[in-house]
Amino acid sequence: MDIRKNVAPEFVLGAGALSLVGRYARNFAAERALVVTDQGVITAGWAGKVTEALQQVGMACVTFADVSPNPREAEVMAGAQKFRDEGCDLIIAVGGGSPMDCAKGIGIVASSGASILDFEGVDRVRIPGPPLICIPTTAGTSADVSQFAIINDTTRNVKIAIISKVMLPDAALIDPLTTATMPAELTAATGFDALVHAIEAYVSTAGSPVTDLHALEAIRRISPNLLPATRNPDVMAYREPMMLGSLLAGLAFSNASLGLVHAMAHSLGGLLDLPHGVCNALLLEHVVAFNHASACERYAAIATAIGVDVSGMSAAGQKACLVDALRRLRLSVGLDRSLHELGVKADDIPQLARHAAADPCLVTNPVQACVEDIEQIYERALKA
Amino acid sequence: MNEHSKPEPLGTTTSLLDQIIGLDEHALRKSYYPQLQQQVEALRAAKGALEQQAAEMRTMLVELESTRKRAEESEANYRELFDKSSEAIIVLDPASQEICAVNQAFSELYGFSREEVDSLSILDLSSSNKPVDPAEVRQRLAQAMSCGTYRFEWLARRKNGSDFWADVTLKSASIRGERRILSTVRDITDRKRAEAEVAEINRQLEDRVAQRTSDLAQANQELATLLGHLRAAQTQLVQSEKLASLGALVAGIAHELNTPIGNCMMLASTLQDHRETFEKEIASGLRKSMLTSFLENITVGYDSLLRNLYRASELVTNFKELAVDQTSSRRRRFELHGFIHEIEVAQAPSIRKAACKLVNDTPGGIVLDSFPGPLSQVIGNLIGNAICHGFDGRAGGEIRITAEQETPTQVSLTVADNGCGIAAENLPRIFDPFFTTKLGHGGSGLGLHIVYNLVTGALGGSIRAESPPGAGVRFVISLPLSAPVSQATE
Repeated sequence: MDIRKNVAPEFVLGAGALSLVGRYARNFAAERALVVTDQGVITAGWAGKVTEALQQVGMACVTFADVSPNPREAEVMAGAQKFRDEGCDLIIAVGGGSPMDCAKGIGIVASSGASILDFEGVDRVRIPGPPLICIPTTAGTSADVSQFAIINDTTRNVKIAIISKVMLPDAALIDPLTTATMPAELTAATGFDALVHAIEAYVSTAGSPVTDLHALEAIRRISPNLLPATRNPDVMAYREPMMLGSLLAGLAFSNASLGLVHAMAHSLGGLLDLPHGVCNALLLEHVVAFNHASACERYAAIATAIGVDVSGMSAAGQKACLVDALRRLRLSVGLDRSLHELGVKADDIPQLARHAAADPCLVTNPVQACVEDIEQIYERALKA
Repeated sequence: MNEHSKPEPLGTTTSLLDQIIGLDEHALRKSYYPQLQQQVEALRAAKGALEQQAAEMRTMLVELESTRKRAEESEANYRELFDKSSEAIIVLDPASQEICAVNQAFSELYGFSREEVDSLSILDLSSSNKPVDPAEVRQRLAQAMSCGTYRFEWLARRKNGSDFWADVTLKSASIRGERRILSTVRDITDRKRAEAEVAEINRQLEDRVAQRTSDLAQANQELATLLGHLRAAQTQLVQSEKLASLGALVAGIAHELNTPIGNCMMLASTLQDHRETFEKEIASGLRKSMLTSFLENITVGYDSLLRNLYRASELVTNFKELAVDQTSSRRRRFELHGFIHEIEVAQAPSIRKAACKLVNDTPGGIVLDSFPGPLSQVIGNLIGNAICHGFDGRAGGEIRITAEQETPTQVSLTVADNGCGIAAENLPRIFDPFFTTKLGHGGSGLGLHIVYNLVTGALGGSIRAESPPGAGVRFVISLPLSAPVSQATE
């Protein structure tokens, strides 16, 4: 067994976890919190719940909601400026991946004074940010337990990955109730994102028995509940396993890292600002097909976890079965448009492939894909 | 996977994988932020303190370097001084009293070479006529150690056995880190001899001074007695001079009166002759022509007689006035020009006698409220002085008295002659008592002294004498129009 390290923040999981935010904020001896969120979360009412909880404990707070999907470096810098200008000493992120990644970026920029782009890469953060509490409102990104932050560099049209133990939040308050307000497409996209996290972590070259455990269990929780959750947004019996699955997937990928799907999805998000979960969902079956030969047994275990019996099948048969199951799942939850339909053009592919080949997520992919490999995969995804 | 299309390397792919696994990562998981900040602050402060320490140490290093340089220079200086010194120096160890080193001057003084000294002790360098006690040596060294310096005289002995007196100065010093005594030895044989000679001369001198002091005391006593006599004599002389001037005045008065009275006598006797002739002529018969002639004669005679008597009477009135002024210190108001005229009249005989001329050139209308007696004596004396000294041996001269009212309260009176003047060397002394150039020829040396006393005393003024060569003498008297209130001297 290889020697492996696992990190995870303190996290509270369960319905009503959000209401603990006041106590946590006070435990950090904070005086003024910056609440990072976005308009959708404010509309859904979760940002208001957080500020109410803070007011109940007498904690001053300032809201920063200028966060777009695929958060941009300018938004991070503006948030850090606000943090300093307002004299804040605590950051609370409430929302999906965008506010959480943005909040992580704001923290390290506020404490260092550097540009967010200076931290691109692995283990580049020297000075930790202020205390950060994450309250996820989607069951998918798991930025609340991961050491990743993905920021869109709008000058180069590239998503940069900042990977550091420092990026872990200090506490995650994971409340499945918050996911009940998600529309169906968002539930599907974020759910698929969580599934991809689990699958990529499981086949990652940096994986370990602990991450394997989390990854497989995540797949088992997500795959049967994704469709029902999409169709019955209010039923907590589906939302709760989705949230648990997302958490487990997060714990897995945070320590094992990801793979080619994410490398390619980041490239799409950076160049064309496409929704991350949707990209992941569209790319997954093609990458699984590309990777399958390098990790047959692992993919077999994944198929089993999804509920596809591949026992006694040839490798090719297993691959076909798994790819088909994933495709059917995607179509069933309504993620049925091709990349072409999303606006990707054939001309974009070389640049997309170049960016993906430079993404750190590629490092832990079971196959070391080259630019031409990646171009071919994009081409397939374009048509499908 | 296709072997030929290996992925474009991600720089250091393997190490990036290791980085993701993160076993070697430098970043700790984030701890409580404010505490970390405090640690950073503490580290910064520690860094600042260390930098300051480093700066201080650099400063110390510079100081040490300069100290070392000074020490080197000091060592070189010491060497130079020690070897080149013209005074014999012995370096002693205060603990053992042993000789550590000597210089060239020492060898020259004592006759021992520097090598020979190694086997010598202080006692070997001392005279056996006045041997040094080792305890005394210790005590002196200890004294020098505690006080820094100690000085004494020492009967030292040369290598050849001859003794000499030496003046020794012990100084405590640190030489190359060792406590040492530097003893500087100076041959004071010559000084000792000179001291003895000086002592003898001093003794003789004291004897002589004592004798002289006694002589002086006696002479002083004699002088004091003499001075007492002189003072008495001076007072008498001043008094008699005043009387003498009064006598001269009386003589003058007598002389002036002599003329009108003599005329009167002559006229009376002529009238008597005329009466007798007339008496005889009428006995032989009275004729109208005789009577007319007689009446004409007596008319002319009585007219002349009356004029002379009037003249005598006028003189007496004047003299009375002057005599009263002269002999009293009466204060009154008087007009200057008229006052000078009175003096002119009184002095007329002596002026005529000297064949000189007195010109009263004072303006009219200057009125003084002063003492006319003393002022008249002052002017009289100045006129006498001019006649006696200025015109002595000359055929006459002129005395001119002028006055000018300088201020509303002050008048300047000048008595000037065109005589022989006063020699420059005598000018400062003319007002001194008994200063005269005519000693034994009638000069008392008191005339101008009296003038000075009266002007500066009763009259409250000042007087100075000027004698430009060839221009005679000018006495300039500055007087207040109103004399001071204090009582006048006699």
